[in-house]
Amino acid sequence: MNQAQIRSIYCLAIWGTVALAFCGVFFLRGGPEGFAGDSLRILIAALDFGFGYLVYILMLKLTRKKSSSTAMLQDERDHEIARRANGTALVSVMTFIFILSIILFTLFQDLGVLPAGWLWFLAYFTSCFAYIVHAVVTLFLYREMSGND
Amino acid sequence: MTKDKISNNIRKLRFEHDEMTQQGLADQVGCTRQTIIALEQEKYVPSLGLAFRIARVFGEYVDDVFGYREQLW
Repeated sequence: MNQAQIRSIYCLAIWGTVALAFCGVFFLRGGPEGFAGDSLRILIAALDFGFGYLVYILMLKLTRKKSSSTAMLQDERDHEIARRANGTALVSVMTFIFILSIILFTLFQDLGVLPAGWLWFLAYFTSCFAYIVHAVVTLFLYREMSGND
Repeated sequence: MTKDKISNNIRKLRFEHDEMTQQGLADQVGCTRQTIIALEQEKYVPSLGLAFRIARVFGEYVDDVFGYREQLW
């Protein structure tokens, strides 16, 4: 397994955990309607994300390969996989935002107001979603574009 | 609708050239051994530059290393 695959697995674990924790904080204890006014839950969500980014940066540092090594670490196939994963993640994130916005609009159209908590959800969860999709697509493409040793 | 299929005989050519290792070929053409493995098993289509470099290592024309056939879906 190369560096990109190892990082994708860690990325999936880190941001999957952060997303699950955020969903727990967001949907339990009052739900989305009360989220924007609940400073404790906002603080827990912020700490959850802060911790996630800290672990993510630490993981990037720990999985960095030494440049002194003579073996080539990446080539055009890795760059092609990264390019495809970036493109797919971008389109997926835009589609996710579009679909969630349409769902929220449909649900709250008659009320005329949208609980601000949903905007927190859109912001936080989209970040996790982008990392998760990128990791999944990267792992999938490595599986498709690699031969058996 | 058509799908391009690129085949190659890199594996055969490696063995014809003093049983060159995958790592040996990778070092000469500037890619990783995993990419050579993927190429041999036709899981990856190389760039034109890489295709030319591989052909040059074996002293062949690109057409003699890589084959192209059009497949109908």
